[in-house]
Amino acid sequence: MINVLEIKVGSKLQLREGIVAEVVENMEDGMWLQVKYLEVPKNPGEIGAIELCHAQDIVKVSGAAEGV
Amino acid sequence: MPQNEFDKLVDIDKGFVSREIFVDSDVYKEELSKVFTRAWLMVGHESLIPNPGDFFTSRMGEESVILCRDKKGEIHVFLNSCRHRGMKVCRYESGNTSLFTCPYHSWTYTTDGKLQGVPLYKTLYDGVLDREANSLVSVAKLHNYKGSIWATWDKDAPDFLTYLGDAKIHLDQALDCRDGREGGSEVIGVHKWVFPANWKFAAENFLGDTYHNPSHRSVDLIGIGPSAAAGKKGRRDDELEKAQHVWISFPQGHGVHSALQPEANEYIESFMDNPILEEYFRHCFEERKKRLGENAKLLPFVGTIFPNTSYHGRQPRGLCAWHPHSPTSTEGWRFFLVDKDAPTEAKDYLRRYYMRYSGPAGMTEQDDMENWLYATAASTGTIARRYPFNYQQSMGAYTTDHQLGGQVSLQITEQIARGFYNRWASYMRNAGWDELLGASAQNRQAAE
Ligand code: FES
Ligand SMILES: [Fe+2]
Repeated sequence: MINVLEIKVGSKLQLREGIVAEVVENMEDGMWLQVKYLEVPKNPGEIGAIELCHAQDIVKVSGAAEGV
Repeated sequence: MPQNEFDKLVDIDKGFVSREIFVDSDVYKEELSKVFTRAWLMVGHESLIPNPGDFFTSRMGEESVILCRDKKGEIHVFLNSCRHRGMKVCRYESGNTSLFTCPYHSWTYTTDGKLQGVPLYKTLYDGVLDREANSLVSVAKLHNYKGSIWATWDKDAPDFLTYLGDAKIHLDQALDCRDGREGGSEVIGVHKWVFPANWKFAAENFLGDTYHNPSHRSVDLIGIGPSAAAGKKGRRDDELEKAQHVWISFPQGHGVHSALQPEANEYIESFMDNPILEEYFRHCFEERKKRLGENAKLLPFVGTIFPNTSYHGRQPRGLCAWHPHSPTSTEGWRFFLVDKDAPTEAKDYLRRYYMRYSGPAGMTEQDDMENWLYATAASTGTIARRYPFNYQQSMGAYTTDHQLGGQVSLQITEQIARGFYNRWASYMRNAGWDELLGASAQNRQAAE
């Protein structure tokens, strides 16, 4: 299980539905991260969108934040 | 219940009100849907949520609502119920948050009520769930009146000041600074407790039921007021001892007991137990006189803004909400008020005095509650219900051409209670807003 409390701002995430996103804020409730969509295979129009991302939506943390 | 049933239950002309409206569960259910979904209700005070993200869970009728300040500083009131399966989104009494996450399936709302986070949204809901349309349910109208926050579920309700009508200047006496500046109050504490009485007993008590004064005799003899230790017994200082008391029924159902100081309008010694307070309040009194001139003569006692918000205007000073729980149970909330910029010593003193007087352990409040709850209990029986309450006091003893507006009485009167229940019956008949604001029957017919 991924502990979202430990995920730092700037980390890259692999999400469900093939979405790749970058963490912009950790809501620090153990559940939610604010992320920016970098890749949205099913709807590229959503690239750049800021969304809340739930712990269950995270497939894996693909890259740690640099210098954090 | 048929529409005209309510006129039978409330016979204003003869001065009788059926006990059923204080104990019957069908009447109570109708009240929740006809009164509490339409009237303007007081939900809190801005000083309870000073910073972005601050929230205070309140009530409107039986329902829980969230009073909160969003990230941009704007104030909102939302139904405290998730749009998914209705779970209570916020289970704390107050706090600060950036998100309201539902404990059940974690739907998550921002402080402006928007549904922002839905777990597995892309997998389970994409293209179907309209998040915008599933925001927290917001009240139809909201008004910040001198720091007190009011709301209504009725989009057709008049604006708050129209609703308040001529009762405004009386409520102002509780909300304005002691030295006459507008607004500037702060809540220094909230007491919440449940008592076994119908909510209308409390609302009616504060309309200006001065007749029950003898029930506080024991407190007066002990002396709990701010000059008691200095030898002036009583539950408060008699700052209105030279004033002309007025009891006013307003057409919207509100009622107040206020007082007009005589021409000279001199300071009456008060807060004699504490020289710092005595000096402070004397200063405030003189400043207020300079600032308001003639208008400074009006001083407050108590009042109720229809249906369930009451206030104490001076000693003590605060707002009350009488939240219905059941026909025979009410949750009382006391919001204790002080001037935000009052000296700390004054605030501390007042907090203690207010608690001595009001709230679940307040000596005066206990006297009142004992009456409300025994009256409720003794009115639930089959035989008891056959006999209406008597409201014949000071029938017709009022004038309608007083400068203060409404029906003004110069003697203790149940005219205010008659006005309150008359308006209550209008709500229960689903009357239009013209009648709810007090348009006379003839005007109504002419308009129809
Ligand atoms: S009830 Fe709130 S998320 Fe299901
Ligand atoms: Fe009382």
